[in-house]
Amino acid sequence: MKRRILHSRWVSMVFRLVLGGIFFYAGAVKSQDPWGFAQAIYNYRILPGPLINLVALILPWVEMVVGGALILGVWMPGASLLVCGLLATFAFALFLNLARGIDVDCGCFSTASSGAGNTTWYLLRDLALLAMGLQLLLRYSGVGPGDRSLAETSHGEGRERHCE
Amino acid sequence: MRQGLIAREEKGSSMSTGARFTRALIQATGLLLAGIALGVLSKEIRGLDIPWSGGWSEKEVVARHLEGLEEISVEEAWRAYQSGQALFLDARDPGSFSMGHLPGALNVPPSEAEGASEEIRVLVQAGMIAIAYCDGVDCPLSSELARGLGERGIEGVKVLVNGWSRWRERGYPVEIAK
Repeated sequence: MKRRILHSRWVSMVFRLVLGGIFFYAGAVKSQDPWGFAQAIYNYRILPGPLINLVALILPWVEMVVGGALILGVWMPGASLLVCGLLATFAFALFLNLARGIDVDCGCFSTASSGAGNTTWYLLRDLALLAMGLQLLLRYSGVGPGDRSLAETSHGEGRERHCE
Repeated sequence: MRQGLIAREEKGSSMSTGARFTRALIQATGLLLAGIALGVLSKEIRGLDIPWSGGWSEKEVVARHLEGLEEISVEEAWRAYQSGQALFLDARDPGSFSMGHLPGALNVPPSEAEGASEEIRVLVQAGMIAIAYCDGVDCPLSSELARGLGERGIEGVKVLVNGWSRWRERGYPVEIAK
């Protein structure tokens, strides 16, 4: 059952459209307001000053490219690897700020539950997306326990349908 | 066509884990480089006013936050408080506010500017000086609040940069919510 979910064609299609849509939309919105996005990056208090604008100008386009690849189903092994890399980086940044008590909405140190609550919610949301990305990575690249997944699964699913 | 796809899948399935990972890595690098190229092109074509680097020193951040707003020094804020004219607006989150705030402050995070604007308008019209503050030199909340109130027709809200810390450093009185 677990294996079938991990390699299901339909689950993968939903995940890649959801992730692709989110990444493409998020990148498009951020690319329209680079100063605003740079402020958001600054609020995380992780990157040194000289790198903030560079990331603010480039990252939205990387997100749009990876989102587009996921939606179109192009270069899926690479797209799923990159999306996992990005989501893992975001999760690390959120976890770091949760541990340091920084509210990422404003970059302020927050002694309060509301600031930490937002960061916790962002982290949980990011981890849920990362789980989707990992499913895609297993299915399309076959790295890890899903070795030989793509061909075996697609043929296997065909056989199952035929038997029914 | 279908046979071609199956052949490709079979070819993929016969690859070793290392080869599969290398393929994924090469594709990911390609997508990353495409994103970088589009980012560079977009900045050049659209002529964006954001430089590739810089603009994030403390001084530059504060100047950007205060653009179009009026700053008030901690001494001026103290004098306004002593004369009974200060209306402190604490832009931090409610939890931080409850742990301590400037005397008589209203807790108005920027997202709540709309709801509090009527009360603030009445007090400002009665002669109070609205002073927004938060904590941290580069905290954007106080300027966001002042700007939000300005958009709702409450002009002249002053910003006390790093207000909470600077006020306490001077040993001025604070209140703790019960």
